[in-house]
Amino acid sequence: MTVIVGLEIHCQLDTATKLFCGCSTDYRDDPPNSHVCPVCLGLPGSLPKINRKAVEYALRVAKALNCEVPEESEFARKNYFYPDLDKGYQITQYDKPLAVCGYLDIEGDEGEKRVRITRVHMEEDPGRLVHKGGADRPKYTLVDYNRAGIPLIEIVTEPDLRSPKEARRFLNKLRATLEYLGVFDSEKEGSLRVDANISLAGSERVEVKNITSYKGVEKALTFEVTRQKNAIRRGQKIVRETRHFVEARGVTTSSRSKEMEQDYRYFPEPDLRPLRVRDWAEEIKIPELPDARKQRFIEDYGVSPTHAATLTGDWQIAEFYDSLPADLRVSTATATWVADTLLGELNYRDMSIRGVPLDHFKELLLIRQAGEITEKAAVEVLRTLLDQIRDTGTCELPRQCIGRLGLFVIAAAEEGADDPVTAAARQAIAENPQAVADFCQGKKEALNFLVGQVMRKTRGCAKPGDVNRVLTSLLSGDE
Amino acid sequence: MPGRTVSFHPDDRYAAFLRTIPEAPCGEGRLAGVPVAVKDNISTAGIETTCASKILKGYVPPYDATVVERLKREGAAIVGKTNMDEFGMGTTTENSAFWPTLNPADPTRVPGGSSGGSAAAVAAGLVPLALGTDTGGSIRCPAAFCGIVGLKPTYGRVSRYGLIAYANSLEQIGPMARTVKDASLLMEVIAGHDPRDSTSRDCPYHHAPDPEIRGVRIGVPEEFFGEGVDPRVASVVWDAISLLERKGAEVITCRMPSMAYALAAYYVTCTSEASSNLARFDGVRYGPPADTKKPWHEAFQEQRRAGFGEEVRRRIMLGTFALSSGYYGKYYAKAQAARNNVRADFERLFCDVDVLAGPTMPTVAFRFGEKSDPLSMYLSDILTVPANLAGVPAISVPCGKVDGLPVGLQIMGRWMEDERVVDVAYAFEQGGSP
Amino acid sequence: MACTCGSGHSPDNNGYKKPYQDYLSSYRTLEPAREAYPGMITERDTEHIAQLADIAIDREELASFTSRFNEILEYFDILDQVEMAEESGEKAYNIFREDEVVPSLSQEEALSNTTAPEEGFFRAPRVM
Repeated sequence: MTVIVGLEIHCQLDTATKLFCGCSTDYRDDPPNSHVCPVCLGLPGSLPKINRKAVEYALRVAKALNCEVPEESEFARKNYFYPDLDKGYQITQYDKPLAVCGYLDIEGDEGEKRVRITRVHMEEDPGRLVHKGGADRPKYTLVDYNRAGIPLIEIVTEPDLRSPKEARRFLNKLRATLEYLGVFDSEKEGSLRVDANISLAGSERVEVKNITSYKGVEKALTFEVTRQKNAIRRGQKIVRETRHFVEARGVTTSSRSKEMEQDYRYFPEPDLRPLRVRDWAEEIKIPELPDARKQRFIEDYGVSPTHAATLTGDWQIAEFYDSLPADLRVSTATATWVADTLLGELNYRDMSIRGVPLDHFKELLLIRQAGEITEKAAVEVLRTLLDQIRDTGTCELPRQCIGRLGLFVIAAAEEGADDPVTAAARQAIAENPQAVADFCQGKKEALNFLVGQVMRKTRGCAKPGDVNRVLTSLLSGDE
Repeated sequence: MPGRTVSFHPDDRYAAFLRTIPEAPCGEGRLAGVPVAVKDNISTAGIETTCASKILKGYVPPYDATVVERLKREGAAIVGKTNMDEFGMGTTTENSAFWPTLNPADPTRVPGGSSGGSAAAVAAGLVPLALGTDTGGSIRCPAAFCGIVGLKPTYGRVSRYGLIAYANSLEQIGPMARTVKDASLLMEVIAGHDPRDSTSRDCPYHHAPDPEIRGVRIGVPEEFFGEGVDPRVASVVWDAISLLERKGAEVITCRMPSMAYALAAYYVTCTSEASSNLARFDGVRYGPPADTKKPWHEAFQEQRRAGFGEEVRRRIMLGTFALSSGYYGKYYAKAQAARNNVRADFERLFCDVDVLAGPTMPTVAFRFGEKSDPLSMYLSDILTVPANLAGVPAISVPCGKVDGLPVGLQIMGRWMEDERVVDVAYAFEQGGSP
Repeated sequence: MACTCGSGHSPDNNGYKKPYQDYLSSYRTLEPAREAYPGMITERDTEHIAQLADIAIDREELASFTSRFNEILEYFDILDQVEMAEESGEKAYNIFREDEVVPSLSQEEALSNTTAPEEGFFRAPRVM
């Protein structure tokens, strides 16, 4: 059964001020209703005024998504009542959106795929509700308008996605693109919200609202596919409805259809003037986007396509990689180390690249590259540092950590000297007579066993070549 | 001079004020120490601002409207907030949720509306200057009924920031005074660009009224003397136009066909915008609190049922209907088309004439309760709404009396030519021969 | 640039009405009134409008409101004669402000017109 998915994505634009007033958007750690003014509080008599930067950011997005910018666009009022709406309407765009008819290419289930973008428009975020009361007390709601008026772009795709996984891939690509554009901070809580339309070929579509994370999209859609398939299998009809995603349980629930049929009574916002920004859009320069960067990594750094995709799939990682010294960038080991080891360890800890002091990891890479620590030790240091960051928010300097753990490479001295590697080798030989005997009988594998023993005793800090040399020399001396 | 105040203890026998400031602060400037009354839909920091509605009872704005800032900058004393039809919705000030205002010219009659309190305060001599607002005639109508001067400026010439919106695309704040000169002075103070209002234009008003009108071409649209216009009012207004002619103006009769549907276009537009503007009054952020024990929809419905008067509820519902799915095209979109035609009519006429003249109101002031059904009340706005639809300036200046009741002469001008309508009104006011 | 998401439904649309078209159909065209309000509106229609406007309406008021509406709407019918016209008049575009932070109200000022704030929040009726 073909799965058909279309997405409506709301992203907060990372401007300094709100869409229609000069209140700061940096509200997340502040008390409720401390970033509000007559405009975003909807006080009678206040008037909105469009933030130029928000329009510029939205145009960057439009351009990156290959959209057309119509000659004229305008804001409209979407009229509905809800306690989080400060004015009883939301200022959004309706029949004259900022941009239309674009596309974004993604890695689809069956190779490269073009997902069409219906429209990109701007609108304001409503306030935030906190639900109070409960079983024993009357229920009521608390409202914080700090979020009210934060600029959003809504990106609407055509129903071109064919699986939950594709939907997630699309979102990841979109997120990367928005971050490359410098218009979006995915780390900010609530900065992205998705509504998904999903249907199975031949059935009614269902809208799933309230998806607030990247992983949530795939989860919600997977749940819906299963639910809808099961219903059809049981001979039930899929009803056209709106469902809510309950992230904690990973399920979607039917929102009461008791709610009135919505009639938003859109009309042009009389307090604002229309936009004519097509020429401006032409002039706006957008930075190198993920696809171009991926190509450059492959061509200039010789990174494998898979690694290049990973390294450019996140703007910060791509920037990190680009900031490494030239000889490191072109080394396959570096690409592997960043794309697999570093990202793997982050993923394992459910940590993000943000908040990680990348300079430390650059230094660690340089130490490793200089042969001052072994590969194994480098991984141990990385893990230690990441654990520290996760637990305390900060970490030691790599050299300090390596020193503290005693992980600097122990070099074996020249022939016959009494160094830690030689000492460990003597000990290993003394403790494993059987292996020594095997070796003497020509069983070469026995040497590997002994090397392993020495490595263990030196906690991986000896260079395998040194160990081999010292062991061979000691064993041949014994013969 | 800090700490200076104006004592204000008026004998408000016509109930013009909703509240007064007994010791009103004032400063230096062109209006130093001049008491100014402000209509109650204009935000005044620290002074209750209700739009004469129960739903805003107790609301004290934390900020001043731009026009109020400008008044204060010129030293004016804001001495009180004047009564009005609730949210500006009315032509008589009878729709105030608190009390009606009486017409100082005849206390058995309405002062007109919706800026009836401002007009009555000026006409009764309680203040020399007042601010009104004009969405479809709300400055000019009470000015005509009370026998004072009222100017509706060109749309965009005076900032709307802080004006509690009734119909954003139509309304302007404007001056009301006993003389054209005073009105012009107040206009100088309040006009000018305001970066907070996106519809504000950078076109300041610095003007000394000039009574010289020789060669000015005055168009008189036949429709302004059509059905529904009291012949006695028409006659007084024609006399006034004749006076202007004697002073050297050229009078040309003309036609304005869009008048046929201007009123309908006006009411569809203003009710549509109002239905949205007044959605914010839900008792969460200001005004009497909504009942938080109930589900939100029920609580909001009851809040709005109790807080809005009948006419306000009617207009919100009319506008809601005009914008609703399936009707937008029939009402709102058509009204905008009609509005374009009105604008086009003005543009066409203004190729041949410099101003248009006619009566401000079809009749003299009504008796209380005379206009009991809404439609007949709406119809009395027919002569004032065209200027709002087109966004052009219009002034009402007293031009005589019928049965002892004042009649207003309305002069409408080209977009941004407020100076010219002021001059023509001034010329009339100066009277006599050239 | 060719527009691929214009008016034509592609075959794999599967009954999706594109949001953009949804909007257009109810917004741009001047379609005749629906059957629900055939010329005259009924008391049920008035109730529906009151619901949309979030204003409670008493049983006793329904009849008078409805008849007033019908009088006024009948008058509005004159708009049917209006031909759609080119937009005219002086229009301004691109009125922007710069992205510069200006001080907000204090929390106390923000809450000054509400009677029962709680921990810095406004208090509203329940939505759950």
